[in-house]
Amino acid sequence: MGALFSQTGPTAFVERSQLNAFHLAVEEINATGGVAGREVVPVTYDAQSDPTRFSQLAEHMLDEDRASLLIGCYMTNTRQAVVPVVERRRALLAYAAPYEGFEYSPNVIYGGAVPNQHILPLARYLMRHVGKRFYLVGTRYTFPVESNRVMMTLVAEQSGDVLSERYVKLDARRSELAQIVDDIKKKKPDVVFSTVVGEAAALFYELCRDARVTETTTIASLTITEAELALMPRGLAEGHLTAATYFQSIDSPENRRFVASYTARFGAEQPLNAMAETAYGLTHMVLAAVGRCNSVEPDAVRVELARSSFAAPQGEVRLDPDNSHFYLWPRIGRAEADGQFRILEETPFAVKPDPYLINHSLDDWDTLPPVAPAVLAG
Amino acid sequence: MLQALRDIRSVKVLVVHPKDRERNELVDHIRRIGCRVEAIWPPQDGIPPETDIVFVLFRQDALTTALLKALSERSSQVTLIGIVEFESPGVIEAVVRAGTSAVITKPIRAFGLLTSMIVAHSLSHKDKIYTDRIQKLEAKLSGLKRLEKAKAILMSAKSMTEEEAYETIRSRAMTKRVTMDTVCMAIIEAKELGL
Repeated sequence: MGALFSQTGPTAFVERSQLNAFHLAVEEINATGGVAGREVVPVTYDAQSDPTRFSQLAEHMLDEDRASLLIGCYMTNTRQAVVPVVERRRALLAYAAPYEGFEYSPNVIYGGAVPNQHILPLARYLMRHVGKRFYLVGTRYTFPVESNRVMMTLVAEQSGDVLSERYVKLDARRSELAQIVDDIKKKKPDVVFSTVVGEAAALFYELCRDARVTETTTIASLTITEAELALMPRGLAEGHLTAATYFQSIDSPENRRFVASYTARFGAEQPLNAMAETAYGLTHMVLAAVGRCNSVEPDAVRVELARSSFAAPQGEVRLDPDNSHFYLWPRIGRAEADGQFRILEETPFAVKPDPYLINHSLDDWDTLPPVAPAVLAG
Repeated sequence: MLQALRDIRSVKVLVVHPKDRERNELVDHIRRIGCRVEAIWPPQDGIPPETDIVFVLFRQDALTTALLKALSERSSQVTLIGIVEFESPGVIEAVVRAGTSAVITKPIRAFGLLTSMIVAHSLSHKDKIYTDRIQKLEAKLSGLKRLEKAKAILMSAKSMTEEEAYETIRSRAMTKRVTMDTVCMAIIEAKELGL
């Protein structure tokens, strides 16, 4: 199984956690007899956060290394670079990150959340508990632009205001971010919705803290995970809100086991996060399905995946065979000083993926059953 | 947001294509996009009411020709998306003549379908608006021509000034509760009968 992750580059710190989780899952599978009695051999190279390299490596792994299937990619442009490679070879890619939706390739299993599974619950929480004046800032690429489009629709629906929509480069410079933070300070929004990814995220928080933005404003995001918090000085992002399908702090037997194995294998200082959990669960599910149907043919694996669910660390998940995405568990977490998230809200059931939803509405969400009180108290 | 994007989930789609794996993939993806969709084969003259978008496989056979003719004669506009399996000049000509708003090619893939549907729907909507507007303008133009003619008749027969002729037609329309155009047509008719 080829693993396409970056060990260097601006997104490497997240992708390393995905790679670790992949290795952990493969080791667990091999320890219990492998796939249909065969050992799983991981193949991996450093993809260097570079889309061209992602596609070259995918070709190399499938053609030269004879990988049977692939897992990986984090940013959308890296996935888009690999999709044609697997489509031409009728191979399978397991994609282990949340993204903006609007994709269906018969050769991809999409493991992460789409907007109706993360932006919707976040918007709902923010406008109920924080406020309706929003400031949007993100890295200039598909995921932030599309996320902001959805957020703007939802804010407008609730008669809120979007004060500004700003973008920076992946390797944004301090001065560029500082100018945005100045503007935020001036406009005093209730919420800054940040989709700044990579190493610039830490810099953004530092500038916000120095400008004392967080005294009047809540920063919310989809991409700030335990891995990003670990890159920041302790407590820097305290109070920040993130919507994700997984937090390391989830209190369940499956997650306690996952966290214990992961920290035993990679060390307690290695943070877990939603992307790592997705890589871990997806590796287990896809390889189990390959074993059951004794094939790596994408259609056969997809049919097999839809036949059973998996007790993932985030909860029971299963594939929606209509669109090749997963039923997942959206949660809202608050960043605490210790680098972990305290879960403020979670859905009482796994939410169906709707990757082609254009018109998001909080009304749809509000018809869902209420949040379990026991979870809110946590 | 673009109207066609906002409305996509209320769109009703018909797929005219033989039953095979590719058709299944097309229908599955239209469903994934969130539209109601039905598939038929062979082509029939009539299509279900309230159909907004029709995907038609362009084959040079009598049934396809009959369907395209039925579509072009349909009063309420449907958006036509061609499915093309050969690029022969004959097929291309048929695609253009049928008033196709977008084309997808075989083998059919999911990627690009949403864009084709939105572009086609927007184009045919725009087309309908223009057609309606042209019809209205044409009606208005011939109305103006008739007004000119009716005024000329009154001016010569009754030695009226242009303003008097206009005022006569206007007040007649008011008291009879009909349009000025109706009055003009009556005047022209009477003149033609030699009254």
